[in-house]
Amino acid sequence: MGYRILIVDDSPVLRIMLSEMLQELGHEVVAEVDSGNAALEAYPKHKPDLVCLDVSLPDINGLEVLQRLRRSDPHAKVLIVTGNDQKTLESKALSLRAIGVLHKPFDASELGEMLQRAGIKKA
Amino acid sequence: MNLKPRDMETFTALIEEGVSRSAEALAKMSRTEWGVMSASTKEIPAVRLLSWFERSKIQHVAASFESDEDFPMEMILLFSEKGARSVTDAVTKPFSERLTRMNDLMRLTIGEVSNIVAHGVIGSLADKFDQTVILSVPQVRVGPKAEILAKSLERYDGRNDVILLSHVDMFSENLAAECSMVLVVNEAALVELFAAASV
Repeated sequence: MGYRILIVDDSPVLRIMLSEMLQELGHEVVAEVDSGNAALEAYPKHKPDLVCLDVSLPDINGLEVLQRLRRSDPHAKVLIVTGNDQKTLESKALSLRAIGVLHKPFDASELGEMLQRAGIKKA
Repeated sequence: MNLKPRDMETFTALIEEGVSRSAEALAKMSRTEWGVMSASTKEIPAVRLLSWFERSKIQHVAASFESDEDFPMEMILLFSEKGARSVTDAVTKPFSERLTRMNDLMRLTIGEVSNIVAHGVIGSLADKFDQTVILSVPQVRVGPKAEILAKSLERYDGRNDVILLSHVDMFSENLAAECSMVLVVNEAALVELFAAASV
């Protein structure tokens, strides 16, 4: 069975692209939200298996969202999906136990490889 | 306060390195080659910057970004309207009608494309200074270049702030589209960053 996934990204264009790629890989997108606060509200409501989380958000940044999610669910699986390829950002995300950092732009096969490396199998 | 010539050279080299990362990202998203036509970095008073761009009256679609206080800068990416349309078509083509029928698709796509392209240059600077720079979400505007830049420069004092302007032009022959990237950094802030990081 595929994973139930929450997408957090301010860009509606990216949300649709990512959602279509995830569905192509056999996963289910349970919700798409555009801000950090909306993500923190959506997480307990949908209890997703995975969160695809952007870093630049209009209210609180993705690293802060990840930190807050960790407090409420220490086992939350979060994949950072960002155009930001800075070394320090990647190490901060991994130290907050993100399962990985996927750099935009990417295609469905790169997304699939990243999910597989993180132990998230195709449906 | 002026940047030392050695630091200016380092800064220019970082921009050039970042620009090639940006061109690669643009090529991957639009599935076609992009070349860098020109890249220059110069000191310029804020007030002169606008007169520099006033010659161009054609409409542009532009996305601007601000960084956080630790590394203050503005990044603006500008596409002509025709170029923005070609880029939007190329980027969104493989996806379903849910995307291609979206209202305001061109503005939204240019915002996302610009966000990814901007990070090529920002990443090169941030890595050198061992900092994490998180850009704001894009502000997308449509208008002539000077009008767009005036909005982005509101936080600078036109008479007293000396800014470093990096101006890059990229072009795709296949899409008949061009992209100008303008990076504006307050020179005094950059001098402090160089001093603190001793790079």
